[in-house]
Amino acid sequence: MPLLTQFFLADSVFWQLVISGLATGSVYALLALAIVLVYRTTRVVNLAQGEMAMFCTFVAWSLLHRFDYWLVFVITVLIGAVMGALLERTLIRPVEKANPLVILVVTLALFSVFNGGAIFLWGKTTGGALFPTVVPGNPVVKMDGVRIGAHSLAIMGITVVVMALLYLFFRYTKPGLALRAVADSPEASRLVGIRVAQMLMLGWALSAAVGALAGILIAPLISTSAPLMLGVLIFALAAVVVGGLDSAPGVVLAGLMLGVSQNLYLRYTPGEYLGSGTELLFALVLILAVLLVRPQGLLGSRRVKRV
Amino acid sequence: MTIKARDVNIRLPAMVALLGLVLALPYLAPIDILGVHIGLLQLSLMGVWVIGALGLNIVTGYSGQISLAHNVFIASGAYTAALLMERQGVPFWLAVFAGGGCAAAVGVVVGVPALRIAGFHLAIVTVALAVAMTPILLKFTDFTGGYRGVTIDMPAPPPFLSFLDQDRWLCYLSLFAAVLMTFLAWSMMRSPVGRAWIAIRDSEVGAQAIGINLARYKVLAFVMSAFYGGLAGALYVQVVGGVTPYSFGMMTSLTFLTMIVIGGLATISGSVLAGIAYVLFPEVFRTLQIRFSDVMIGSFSLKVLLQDAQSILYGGMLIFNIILMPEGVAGGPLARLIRRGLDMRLADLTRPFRRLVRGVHDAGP
Repeated sequence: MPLLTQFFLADSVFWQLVISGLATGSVYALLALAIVLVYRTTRVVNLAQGEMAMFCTFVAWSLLHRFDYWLVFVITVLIGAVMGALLERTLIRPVEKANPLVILVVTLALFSVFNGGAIFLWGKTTGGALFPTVVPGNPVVKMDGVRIGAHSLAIMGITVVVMALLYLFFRYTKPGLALRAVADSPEASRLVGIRVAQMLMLGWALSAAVGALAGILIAPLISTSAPLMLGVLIFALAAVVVGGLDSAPGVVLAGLMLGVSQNLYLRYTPGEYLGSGTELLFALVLILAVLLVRPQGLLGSRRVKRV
Repeated sequence: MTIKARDVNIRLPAMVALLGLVLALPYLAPIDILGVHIGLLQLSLMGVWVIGALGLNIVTGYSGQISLAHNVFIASGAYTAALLMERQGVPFWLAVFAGGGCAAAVGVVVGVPALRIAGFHLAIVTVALAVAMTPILLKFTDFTGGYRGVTIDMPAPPPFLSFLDQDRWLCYLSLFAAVLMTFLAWSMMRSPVGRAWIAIRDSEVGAQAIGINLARYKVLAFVMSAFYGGLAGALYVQVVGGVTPYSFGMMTSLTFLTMIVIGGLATISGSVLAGIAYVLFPEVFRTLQIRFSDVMIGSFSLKVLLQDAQSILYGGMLIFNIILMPEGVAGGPLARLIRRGLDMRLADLTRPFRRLVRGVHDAGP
């Protein structure tokens, strides 16, 4: 990558920040994608998405004592999927027809349950032990003076693969098509013989699986403790707002942008008033700005309200 | 002139009884019910959090805007009062009002964007604010006192109440504040302002059609909610003697939301119950924890569940409540009971006896 430092007036630190930002941004994008998957199927913003991911990460943490990393990886994602489907069936279905705010409160209740559940099962912290990285030992890769952890590259690689798989699933498979149909119009889908209830479960399952993946990938970069995903959730929500609540490409783009801009914000703003400690405020300001200027987000579709 | 039984409304006696109860409570404490300890501190905190719960119910229950930033309002009130008292030596009553006022100003900052943002987006904005607060308090250490927070000297009773000891005085302070703010909220909900909020919640379009200024009333709901929250926070500082960045996190907002949903959204009695429950539940858990400290569920101890993982219980209660009792405790059976109780006249109370007497007469020769 000699082009990077040659053509842009920036040092290697800048590019280091950009690339590690793209890695955390990938995780924001994954979690944001999970939120969008649920929103498109059941029209609810699942505020418990982060806590569900955190819970799955802790499950993976326990399994790691017995099994190999990649086996745990697959098992955890499957557990996430089953968990998502069960939650949709048992808790969301009964309030499906209720006021959206009621469903929102149910997701907040889930937030509490998973938060407390993780503390109950695994204690408040894991004693400072770190979650393993995808590449054992996380060796540093050097490119043109830019030093990047192998884990960051792995995150980006896995994210790209997952997004490609999701794209293929929605574009070329029958369940994918059915899921898109349900998102557009549940009534019409039911008329053409799609089992809407099953599709809603599938949507939640996919979403929780993607969330679990995000949890496993981000865990080595932040300490493994109960509030693990709270900051990530806020950034994922910011990505959802910036990208548009119903646009998958939009939130992926926004997630990546947020990851990079977060890094640059932390590095290049004066630490006295801004910088470290205020990154969540930065996300909040971004959310507010987008909502006030362009409420549908960058790529979201404008909702026309019928009166 | 004789007073007929059917002319005597029970509302006035009920108020006198309430006043009597408030006057008596600090002298009845500590109360132990089945090992659950309710001391002066718990009573004072109940008063404080009744105000807090009323605040959240105003914006979420009555005007239908979800707010997860209630912890921010409470904390701004608490920090304003604590800093004013510690750094400037401001008298406590002024600091309490300043706390409410400052929180109300924060309420404007949240409420104005909320005009254009509704539903899920409002939830996202308020949750981001709720989570961002603690790191910010930790960041500006010089101003906020960092992780140690701010401690104050608790206010002494004024001269004319000098016969009270410190703790009882604080207890009376918070209980009377709670009664006053409850009455204020109760009358607010029966005034055009409260009716307008309810109308907006039920249908924004309908509310606009009958000439309600949406913008004004939506912001007002946030401001009023924030004022109540800030007042509660400022009183909390008086009762506890300080505040730290960890006192009010996002979980505080979530627990308050749980409590008002369980108590009953858009009900005054539900908010009062919510405030009491907010203090009572942890006490109940503590009692259970002491009694069942060595009980294990598999390889997990019940103690951890009751001590650190209480949110799992709150979440469970919330789900249970929404699915089985969506109106909350005060929305359903209790509301009917209270309404009937308040509207009951003395005649209703004596009716069984009169019937009995009449029955005896009728049965006579």
